[in-house]
Amino acid sequence: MLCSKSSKWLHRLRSSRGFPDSDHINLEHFLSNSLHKIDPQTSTDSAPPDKRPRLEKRDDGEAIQGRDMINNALSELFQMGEFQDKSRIKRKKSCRKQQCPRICVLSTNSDAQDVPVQKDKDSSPSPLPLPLTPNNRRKGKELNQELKVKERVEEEEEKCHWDLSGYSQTEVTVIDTSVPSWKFEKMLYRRKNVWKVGDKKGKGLMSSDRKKRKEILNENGDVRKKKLKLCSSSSKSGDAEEGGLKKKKKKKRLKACNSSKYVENEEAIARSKSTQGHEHCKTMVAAYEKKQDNCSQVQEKSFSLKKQIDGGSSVILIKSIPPTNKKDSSGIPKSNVKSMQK
Amino acid sequence: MPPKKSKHEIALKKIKLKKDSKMKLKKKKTTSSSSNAVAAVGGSENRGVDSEWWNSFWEKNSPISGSMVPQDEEEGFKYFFRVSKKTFEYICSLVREDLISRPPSGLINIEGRLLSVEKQVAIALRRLASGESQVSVGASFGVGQSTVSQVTWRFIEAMEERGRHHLKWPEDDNLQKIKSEFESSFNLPNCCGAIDATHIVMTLPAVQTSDDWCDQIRNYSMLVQAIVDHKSRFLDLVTGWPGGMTVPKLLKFSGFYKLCESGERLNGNPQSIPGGSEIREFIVGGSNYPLLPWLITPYNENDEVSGFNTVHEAARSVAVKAFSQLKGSWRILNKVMWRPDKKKLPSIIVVCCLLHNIIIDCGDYIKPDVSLSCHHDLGYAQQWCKQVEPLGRKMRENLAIYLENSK
Repeated sequence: MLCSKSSKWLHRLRSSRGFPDSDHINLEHFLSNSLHKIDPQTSTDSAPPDKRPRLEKRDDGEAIQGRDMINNALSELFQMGEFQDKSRIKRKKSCRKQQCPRICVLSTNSDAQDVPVQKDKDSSPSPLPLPLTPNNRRKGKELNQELKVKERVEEEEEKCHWDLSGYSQTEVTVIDTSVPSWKFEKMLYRRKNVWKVGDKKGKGLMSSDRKKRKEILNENGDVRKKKLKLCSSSSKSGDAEEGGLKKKKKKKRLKACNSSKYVENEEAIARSKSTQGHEHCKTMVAAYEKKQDNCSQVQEKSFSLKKQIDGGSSVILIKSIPPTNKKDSSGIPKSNVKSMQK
Repeated sequence: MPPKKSKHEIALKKIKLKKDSKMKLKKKKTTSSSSNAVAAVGGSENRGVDSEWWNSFWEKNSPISGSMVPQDEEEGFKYFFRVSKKTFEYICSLVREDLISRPPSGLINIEGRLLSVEKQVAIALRRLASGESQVSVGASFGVGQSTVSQVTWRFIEAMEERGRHHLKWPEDDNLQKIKSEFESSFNLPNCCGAIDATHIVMTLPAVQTSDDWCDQIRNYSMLVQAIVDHKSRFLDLVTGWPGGMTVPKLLKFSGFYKLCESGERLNGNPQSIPGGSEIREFIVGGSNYPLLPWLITPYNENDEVSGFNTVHEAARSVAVKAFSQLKGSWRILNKVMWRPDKKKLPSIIVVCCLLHNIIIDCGDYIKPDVSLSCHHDLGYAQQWCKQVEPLGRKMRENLAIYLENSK
């Protein structure tokens, strides 16, 4: 089984990489003997991106060439990354030796490690065929900086990246009310009494997380609905599904209106707040009372819509509700709402 | 197509039948088991204000002889949650949209009922105010530890987002009021506030913890720096930097510093004082801060111009008071936190500051006995900052002369 499978992918692999195609070669055979059998000329011809690194590596001998080739082949095969960018692997190797070992203590730092590679990738399309030594990498970055006007902080951060060999690194999440976004993450470098701040490597700032979470919070029901949609599509007829979707869309619109109103109200409150204390607090209280009315109205609407959906939908809706909620979600609130609407 | 549809229809009918029977069962159950209280809670979850939670909470935690809990219900409410009922309602209104329980994802209590917004806010406020463990806070509300944890964090996230307008640098009109208050109270012209910093102490795992968090007295801590007005209301806040950092560095890393240095803040018109000199907008800070043109620190004991340090200290004390009130009201900040998530801790701190400001903004008050009886940063000696800018020195001299002349 293995042989038959391996022969297929090996065949594909060989043909894609320009290796001699022979049915007699299995993986082990290939790995052990390919170094001697493969003609380096043919392999380099078939893989043009290999040229540049090969020029550097020519002195190291054929064995290293072959190993590189196998590495590439394996990286392609097992999706270890973009195999065509051979330099990536080398760069990765050069990055492996960290300037400060502390960085690999936390799991979150894995992102931080990845990103420099990513950055290099971005800079790699530059026409300069620079060997990947740290000095040249820095030069490349400087060139990029000339092209793009970056913030001073970023420049500092890049300097930090290269000059902070003896510094400890700590990730910090800072809230600063003088910064428009309030919350940001930074990398703090310290050597005794010298503190430097750089941007955290990686893009995973809180704002995006919060946005996602906010969406989940705002669309609590909607997330559930999506699940239901999936369930219902498998169980319901097309008409019922369409109807359901329309209702859901309506409900979404209602919610959107509600939330936008809320935001407007909030802004109004914020504006009024900036002027002064107690009286403004009263106005705020009045505003939120109005808002509450709006809220309850829209909720009632959405509730009635929900009732419609419930009426037309399958039992799956109930199944999706956790058993502890069953009382409240299905029975009690409806009866209560009815009584309240009366 | 038609046969498929018919199959579906059959399936649907079956499902509907099942559903109907289940609904009937549920209705029976609810009619038999539901009490008026349940109905009230059920209704309140979706609209209106839930007051049921308070009745049961007050019943559970009502004052017994020898306890600190006030007999009066309103006072009792303030004792447990630091805010009046009116302020509480306002806070609920701020976060209602984010906390409202929507089945099935809404949070539930032990009895399986959805938690009302009011109860969630109460749980979160109690956790922040008392600093007690999640288990004991949960027990006082009849909810589990994980519910307290979830509810508190949801509240913090919501407040951080919705309550921002309660903590921002004042607009011109307000700043003018603050300045005039500082002048009338302390005879300091063009003074816009007082700056101070404190440590939030925590424990961290011995392994994998950076020394950066270890402060001058070998505690693991996080720094908080605030600028406050004459009412001890927070105007600016920075937190999240590790306790190992020095206060001047903390200032330098703050957005406020950058804005001031670039002339975007404290850039109002200078005030002329008798003698021809001018006083620009400034704040007052302790001796652990650098002396800058916009940040005036006290004189060294040897160099002191008579009376300046006394006035300066009085003005600066509003910041000290603010932190004492903050840590006293929201005891979670005064206790040694057990391995907090350092990404979440800044949010907790900021929300406590927001609540502090909301209390002031709503015309509420912080009970005097709530404030810390000792200094907010007990055990931390102020390290004298030697950094002195010539313009700062000149400003301080002018101020000292002004104070001397206006005696």
